[in-house]
Amino acid sequence: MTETEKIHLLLVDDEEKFLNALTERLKLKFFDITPATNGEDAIEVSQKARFDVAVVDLQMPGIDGVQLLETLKQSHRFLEVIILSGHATIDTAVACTKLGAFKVLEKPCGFEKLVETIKEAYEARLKKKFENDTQRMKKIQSLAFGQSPLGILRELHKMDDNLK
Amino acid sequence: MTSHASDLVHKQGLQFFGSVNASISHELKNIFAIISETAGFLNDLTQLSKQGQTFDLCLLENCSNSIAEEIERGFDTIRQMNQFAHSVDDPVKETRIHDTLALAVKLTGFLSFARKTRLEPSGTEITIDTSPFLLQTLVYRTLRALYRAMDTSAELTLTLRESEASLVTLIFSHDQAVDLTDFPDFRTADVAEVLKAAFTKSDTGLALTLPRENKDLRDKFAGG
Repeated sequence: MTETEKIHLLLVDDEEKFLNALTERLKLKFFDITPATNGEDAIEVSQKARFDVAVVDLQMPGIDGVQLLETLKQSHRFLEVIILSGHATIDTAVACTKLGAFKVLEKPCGFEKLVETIKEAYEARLKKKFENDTQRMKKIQSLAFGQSPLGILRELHKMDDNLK
Repeated sequence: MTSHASDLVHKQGLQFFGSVNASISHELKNIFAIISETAGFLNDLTQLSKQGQTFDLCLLENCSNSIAEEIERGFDTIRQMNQFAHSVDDPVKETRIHDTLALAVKLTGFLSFARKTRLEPSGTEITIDTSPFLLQTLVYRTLRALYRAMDTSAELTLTLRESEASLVTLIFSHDQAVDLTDFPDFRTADVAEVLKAAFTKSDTGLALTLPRENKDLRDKFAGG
């Protein structure tokens, strides 16, 4: 990865020192990092900026990792979420996967493993987005036949609404 | 009643031990994760330096300080784990109640939903003759219930009072109104019954009154 193709990463953990150390290390790997120490801040920042991948701790005061995962997946269709937690059990891993988590990693997890997982999540995001764009193009092409310009615009608006 | 006390130590004891150990292991995992990432960052800086790149030397100082602090935090956690493990050494004994409260505050502090808690220093050393393990269980469960009911910004103050010659009262005061309708739950009530402890709720807090001596418990466990 080079500086020109930075992955935009949202990193959420209430352990501030862990968050800071991981942020510094990931910056050296050319990730664009936005750290957040709680779920509330993470939601707020996710409404203002676009992220490719989020790495989220499970147990946090206030909005916990599961609630944050649900909220992020609902409001950002292509965002991939990795759960990184000291509390990960088989049950929580299954629950998080059902809610759309890309992967559940246990803390402490090797740095290289985390970097690889983030890259895999980014690839998955790109693939999902590409497939969606291809579908969209096909729909647009089919709309172009037999529709008035206004009708086409209405259908495009509907499609964009579904993307939110 | 006394066989009930013995059952409680065995049944609730295991569950309580498991629950506390889970939160301690989570705390240790966090500590190791910080040490691991900070050591990794030190290694990254070393590699940068080898490549001839410069960086602020304060980063090195911050890293080594952070590792030293986390090692101290780890030792502190292990000391609390050890203290908690020894609470089952004597089934009934003269127990320094302030020590029990201090340990319960630290152990519940590992919970992700723990709230800021201040333990007021007690002027004199207050002891009660009771089961140290069940007392620890009761105080822990009470704190846990309060934290769950309290808002994230709320604060809790613990005060110890010698209400009468034969009674001691622990006061859990919160700065915001909390809903404790479902407290004590049946498990907490069970432990309270064996310890002959009574809860009194008010808008600003919760009082837990305990006898200085619990003859039933002493008789039961003295017989082995």
